[in-house]
Amino acid sequence: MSSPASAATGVRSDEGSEHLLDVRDLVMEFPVKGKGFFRRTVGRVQAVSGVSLHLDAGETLGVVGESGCGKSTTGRAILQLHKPTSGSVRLRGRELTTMSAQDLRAVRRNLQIVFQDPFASLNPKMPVNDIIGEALRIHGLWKAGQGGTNGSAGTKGGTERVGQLLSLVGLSPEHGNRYPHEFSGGQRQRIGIARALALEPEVLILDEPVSALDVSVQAGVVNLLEDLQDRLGLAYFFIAHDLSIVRHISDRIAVMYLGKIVETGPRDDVYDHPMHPYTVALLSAAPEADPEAERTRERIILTGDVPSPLNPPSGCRFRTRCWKAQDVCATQEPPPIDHGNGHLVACHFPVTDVERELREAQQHLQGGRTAVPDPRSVGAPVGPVGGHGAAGVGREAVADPRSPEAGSAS
Amino acid sequence: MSTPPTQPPSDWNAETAGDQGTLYGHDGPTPTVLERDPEPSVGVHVGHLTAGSAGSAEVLSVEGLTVSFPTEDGLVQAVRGVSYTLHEREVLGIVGESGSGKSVSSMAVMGLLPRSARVSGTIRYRGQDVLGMSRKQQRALRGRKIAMIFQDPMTAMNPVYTVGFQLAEAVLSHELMPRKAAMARAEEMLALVGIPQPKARLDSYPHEFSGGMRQRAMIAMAVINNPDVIIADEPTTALDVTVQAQILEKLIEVKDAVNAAIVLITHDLGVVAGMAHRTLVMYAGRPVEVGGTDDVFYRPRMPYTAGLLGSIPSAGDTGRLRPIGGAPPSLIALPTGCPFSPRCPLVTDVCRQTEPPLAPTDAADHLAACHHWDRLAAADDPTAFFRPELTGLASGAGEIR
Repeated sequence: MSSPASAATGVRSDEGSEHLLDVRDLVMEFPVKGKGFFRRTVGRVQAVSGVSLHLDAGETLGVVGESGCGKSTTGRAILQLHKPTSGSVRLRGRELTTMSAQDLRAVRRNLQIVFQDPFASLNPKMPVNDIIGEALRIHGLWKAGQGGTNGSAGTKGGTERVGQLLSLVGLSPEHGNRYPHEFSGGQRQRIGIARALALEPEVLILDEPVSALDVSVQAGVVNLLEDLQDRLGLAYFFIAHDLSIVRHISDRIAVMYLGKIVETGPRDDVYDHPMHPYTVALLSAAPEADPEAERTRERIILTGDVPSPLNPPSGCRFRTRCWKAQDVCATQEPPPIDHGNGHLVACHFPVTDVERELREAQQHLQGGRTAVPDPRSVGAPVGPVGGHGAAGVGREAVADPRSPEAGSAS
Repeated sequence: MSTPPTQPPSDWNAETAGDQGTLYGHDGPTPTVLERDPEPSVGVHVGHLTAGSAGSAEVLSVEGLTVSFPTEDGLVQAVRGVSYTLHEREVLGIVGESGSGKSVSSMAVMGLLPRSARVSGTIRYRGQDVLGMSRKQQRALRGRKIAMIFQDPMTAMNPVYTVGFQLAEAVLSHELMPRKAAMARAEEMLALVGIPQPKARLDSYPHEFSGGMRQRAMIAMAVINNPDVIIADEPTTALDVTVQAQILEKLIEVKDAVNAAIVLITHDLGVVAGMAHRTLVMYAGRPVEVGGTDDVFYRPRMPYTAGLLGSIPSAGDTGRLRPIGGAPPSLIALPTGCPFSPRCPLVTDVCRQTEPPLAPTDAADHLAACHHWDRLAAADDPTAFFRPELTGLASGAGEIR
């Protein structure tokens, strides 16, 4: 099942070198419970099906995809917050999936997570100093066993460290004894980042770290993340659905669809020359804050929703919404193929020219759909829901001169 | 008025040549007609998101609207003097950050604020004063002439009734007609918004719909009474990018079909850029800039707008982002003078003393509330004022209040 993915890793140019984080054929299944008294497992839903990726020191991998595509689950499975069903996760060559809970705790010093919601991920009953210092205490780094909750005399080392962390993320150390509700969203996210940095990790899993923030505040947090990366050499696994922010922060991109990586590669390759139809559609659908571009730009708008992962389509999982799908897509799962420069695409018919693709997608629709009448013979707009007196300069008023047989379509 | 469509909705999105209102208006000579049948399982289509042209008659005018909420900590001045007009078939985008009063001002228009809210100012729907109406008159307006699409369709719909029942209820609460006819209307509306098998879907409960389908059903519910004004409060915030594109497109299509105007409330500047004829930017309960969407996006005359635009990463730019330093002010204790002055790179003494009124700038219909709009006008790149090295605001350092 996951052999195509592992075959593809063989073509990777950088195969020989040891990566900081190396994920191979990661599969994450969740049981689906029945309704009866015993809540027996009646099925399995594969949230992540054979994901392979790697991350090097100081690098940012941006993971994009729609909700339910498994990007957050992948992040959590890397951290072993969910125990992966199969596959391997190696951090500096050490396998995490088979590790005992005790060993894992030590490893998590190197592997931390920042959660999406800065309101839900901070304990409202703890002052910020304790929130950030908790990790230090758990790992026995809060100066030799002095576990006072309010920073009493013997806990100076820890208090100092927490103060440093707060100023590192752009907050003032004096605010450490405040509670989370006293901070704004952006500030809370900074606290979440400070907490994740307390143990000096090498890899940060950032699970939609700026999605809950206002636009003007997002930029500040993104800048902070970039600064910290420069200063501390962190590697980021950056999960987000905002394509412009991912483009800004990432070195490499992985696009996920329904539990699989459909396209991955260097940022500019993926954004400027997307090859998987899903990536093409995703990029073309994202709105830009540029009225002129928005008005003139043609976009591919996928219809329908992502299929249920309970019963994913056979073959290529995107084929049910793909305008390029052919018979082979239903029978054979496309393996990831390297198109140079580490740009891997899992598609039987990769897109080579986006412009041409837009035209073809359009033609496909006109030609392939019998229910769609020829544009020229379509009836005049029928204006079904009546006008409102003076308001009647709408569709019904602008009768189409080209269409004598109005309303002939059905 | 409310006569049901004589044709299946699937034919009436046909496009007209030369009309700016073509949904999928391409540059070529023939407009393309795409995506007629409701949501096939396979498919994509190509299109622009551009709303039809606006009319000139005013449907909704809001003047000096203020809303405040008494709380234990003091009076929260959520909205402080919002004025705008909405023309027929126009899309007015209202952008602002959380807490800027954009939702509260629209709730006031709908009459949906809690009783504790103190509302003043005037809201006119086609000349009639809405705030002065009796509750009964307001009820007749609400949901019929002014409809609303909420952000979260899961909580906006009642989970224990079928979608068909709720759609029919929206009709029956305004019109005397047999339930069967109302259900037929509901079915048409579901087809209109592109829900497959609308007849079968009438009997579904909201939880059986996906997020995108629920939002479609919300749109169907909003337009079922053929309203003049649709207030869409963050209609796509909870949705994914590809579904968002579908919903926005459907919203424009449906709006053009029923000839409604839309007040589109969002924090996503990209959504406004594509859809809105005019854009209103709110900050700390007040409109700080209003104008044609192009004017506001390309020639911002209020530093806050410029800051917002500058903080979005753009494709070519890989340098540091330019956030607006600081945080929005508390609505209980607003600073004297311009509420944006503590965060503004152009601030001078006059800003700290007097709050600038919303006044015409270089274009008569482009209003901004800034003492120094001419300095923005003189700059090549108004967003450049927010470069951290220029403002001296280290990222986030001065953020704690």
